[in-house]
Amino acid sequence: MEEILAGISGVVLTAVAALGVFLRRQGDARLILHTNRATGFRVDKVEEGEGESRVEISWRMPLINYGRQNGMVLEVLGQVEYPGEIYSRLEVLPRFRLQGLRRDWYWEAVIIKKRARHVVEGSVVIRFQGSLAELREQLDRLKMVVYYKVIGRGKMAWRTGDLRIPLAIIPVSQGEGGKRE
Amino acid sequence: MNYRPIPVKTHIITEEDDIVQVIARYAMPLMEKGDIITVAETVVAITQGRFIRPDYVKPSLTALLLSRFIAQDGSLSSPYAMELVMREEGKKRMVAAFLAGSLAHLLLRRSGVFYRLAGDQAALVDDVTGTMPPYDKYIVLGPKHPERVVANIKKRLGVEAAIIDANDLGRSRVVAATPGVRKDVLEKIFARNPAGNDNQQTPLVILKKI
Repeated sequence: MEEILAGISGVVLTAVAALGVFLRRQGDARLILHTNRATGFRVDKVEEGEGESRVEISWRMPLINYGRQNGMVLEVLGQVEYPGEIYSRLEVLPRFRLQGLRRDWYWEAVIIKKRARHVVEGSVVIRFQGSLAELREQLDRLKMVVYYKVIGRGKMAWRTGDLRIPLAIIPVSQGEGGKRE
Repeated sequence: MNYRPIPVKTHIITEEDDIVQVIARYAMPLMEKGDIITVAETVVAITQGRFIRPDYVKPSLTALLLSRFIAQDGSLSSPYAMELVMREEGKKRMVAAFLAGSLAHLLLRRSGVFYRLAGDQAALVDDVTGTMPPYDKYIVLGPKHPERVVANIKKRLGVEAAIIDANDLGRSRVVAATPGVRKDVLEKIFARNPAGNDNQQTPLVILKKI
């Protein structure tokens, strides 16, 4: 009886060990959105009206799958870190898209092949109750947390990255305001 | 018997749509006697509300393990899709199909056994990214009672109908069809996927008799 039990235990342990080796060798997706490597910040649009101004800033950042399996990015969202009392006069709309996938700013769930490198385009629309000069004076940069939802072979997970959007690049008009692109 | 496929554009179909009314609105004005209406299986499933975000699915250990053995071009490589199909087809059936499929693959070098044994939902489920927006973030199951759906289309609109599962990989399958439809002819036509697989938004295809 003991020999039979020992035999069964041996088979089970071997099977578990083999499964462990298989899973380890198979690996998983490892998707990283490099918010800290964001480049190409530029002002796309500026509007200044009476008592309110609007500016659009865009940039690019690499999205890389370092893993041995394909993975998916389901969502990319941005949340501004509280910049102080000025936030009561500020409205910020962050938007993201995979370069080349769409022309609008809907983040479409996408498969990122193993070892693949892509570019994520980011854009932020800022509305401020005040002049752009005042905005620049009070905020030299906007800090944002970027949340992105990924799935590989295992369970779905939210990841985060920190982003700093420089506001010093916003041109400040000398005249009465208007629209510039 | 020859047919010319005509893809028909519609609005974005949701669970609030009735597929028969969608056909009546967009396809019927273009149809003549002898034509066949075909509907994408995913769209039928969407009208039946058979889609869910993976956030609301908790994959079991069995689903997490089995999905690891499915190649990544298959929807069941996702533990979330695997879990949903297990709930539909039964966990025991899926495990038995997996074991039989693995043995057939290892000993006889035969592939596809798992999908034949695991049930229709295993072949029809679309994982996240498998369906055009706004369903790109949902797992979409196969339609429920597809035979009843085509019978209902014929009863209410008086046309032959079929539900098709086609993709850009050259694979097509007639999920259900009314008795007047030749499945082999349709599978040949849809191997070229005339409705497209991206954002064409053409879930209906009229087969014009020529």
